[in-house]
Amino acid sequence: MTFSFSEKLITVVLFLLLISCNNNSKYSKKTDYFSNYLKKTFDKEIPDTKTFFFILPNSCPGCVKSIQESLERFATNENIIAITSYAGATPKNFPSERYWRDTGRALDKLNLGLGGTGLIITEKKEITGIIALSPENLDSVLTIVR
Amino acid sequence: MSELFSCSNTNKGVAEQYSSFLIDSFKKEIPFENYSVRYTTVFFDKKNKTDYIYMLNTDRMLIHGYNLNKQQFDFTLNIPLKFDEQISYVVLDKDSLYFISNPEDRKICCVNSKGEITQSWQITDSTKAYGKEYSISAFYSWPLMLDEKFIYTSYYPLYSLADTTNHKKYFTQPKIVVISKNNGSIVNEIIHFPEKYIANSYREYNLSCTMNSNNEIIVSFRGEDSVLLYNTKDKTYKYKLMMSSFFTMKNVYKEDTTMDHYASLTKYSVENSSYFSIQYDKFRKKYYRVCLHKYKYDNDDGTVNTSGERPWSIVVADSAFNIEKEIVFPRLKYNYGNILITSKGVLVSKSNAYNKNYKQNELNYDIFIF
Repeated sequence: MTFSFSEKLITVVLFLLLISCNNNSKYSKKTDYFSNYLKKTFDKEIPDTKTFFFILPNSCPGCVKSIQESLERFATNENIIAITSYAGATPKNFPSERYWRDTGRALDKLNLGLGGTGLIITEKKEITGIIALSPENLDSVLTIVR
Repeated sequence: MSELFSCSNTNKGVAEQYSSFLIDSFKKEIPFENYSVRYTTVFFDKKNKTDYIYMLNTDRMLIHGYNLNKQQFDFTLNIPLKFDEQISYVVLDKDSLYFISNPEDRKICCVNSKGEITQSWQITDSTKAYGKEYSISAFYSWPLMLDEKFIYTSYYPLYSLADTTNHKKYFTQPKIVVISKNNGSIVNEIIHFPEKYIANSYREYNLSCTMNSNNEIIVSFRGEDSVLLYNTKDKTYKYKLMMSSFFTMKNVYKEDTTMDHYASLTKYSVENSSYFSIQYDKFRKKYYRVCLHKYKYDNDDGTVNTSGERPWSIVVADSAFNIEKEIVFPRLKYNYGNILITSKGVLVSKSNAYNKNYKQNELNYDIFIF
């Protein structure tokens, strides 16, 4: 059986569409949850530009502390935001306007499939990636943040 | 050890409402900047017949002492230790605050009322796994325990428990170490998890313990209806039944691959009941065992329920472990992780972070006599 060029093209387009649909459906619900959360808690929206949200819930003080220390490396990166329900101190060398405190702890209840610290990657108002962070994988994950 | 189980006390009583046992309340604003209460304990000053609440501010390593009789903050201590992942302390008297500050330091320090370290023990044991695979730790529900000669505290694994190949090693290792006050050496290892934890995965790594007035250690495993008594004098063990009407045997853990490992663990934890803590009330000679009831994890609105939002109860037993009652507390009103035993009664914190009226800078307790 042979395929014409147009048939091959249609197959490729369908395949790409399928991947795209899968990717959207993977995070569409979580994008809704995260958008609603940002709106309700901070009156903000998911930005259009690629943004890295570090999620620091009120659990595992050691995990939160190691991420806080890492955040100081990214003090000048405008596309990095930390959201925390952790009651401890703010990192010394990270701008407070990009360190959002959730005193009501709605963050801890947000269903993002994360059980602790994490990284949410967004672009064009959509979540494109969710990565659980731990002291063990922190350094390798941070290589994708820029 | 099944022959050691006592089956004389089953909890057949009807659960009682908490409000019948409420005798008093107090609320006080915490007047310190950037305060984050992480570790709270109590101390009864026999000489002045006064209860103090000690509150550790881990951001600044300060302890604030709240006088419960005068309803005021009486003193602040600088603690000359560094806060790392977790810290635990117990107050024996005003000049004897015992601290474990960092598992990797392997050190226990005694601090006096001037904030000076008066004694410290570098914990040593060259013959066993200690120092290589384990350090020591303590926490609210598994505190440091002391008698005249020894310090009792928990082993802390230096390997990852997320790696299931480590489970057999963890669940077969003794859980509590006995440390000589004389020279800091480990002189004994006591308390093992029940065998079923080795064979099955219940994902309950922590135990809770308390010491009674006879220097017996009482251990509560999170998935066991019985508690284990260890007599520190004759080194014998026996089980006593102290069950909740709300506890049902946990399902064996299965990873939910649609979510992160830690979210899957939280879901499993919330959806199963467990025993959280055990405390001895030396003033009224009773035991209190907190049972967390199972609850739903997922909500329809994109939120999940955390462990702090579950309904819970306290099983009350007398000094012979006869169950007197079980008292049910409502969801969200109290913090089951902050219960303090004082001469005035049992203080149950109303600082539940998921309560809409929660204020971080506030001491807010109800006082109960059970």
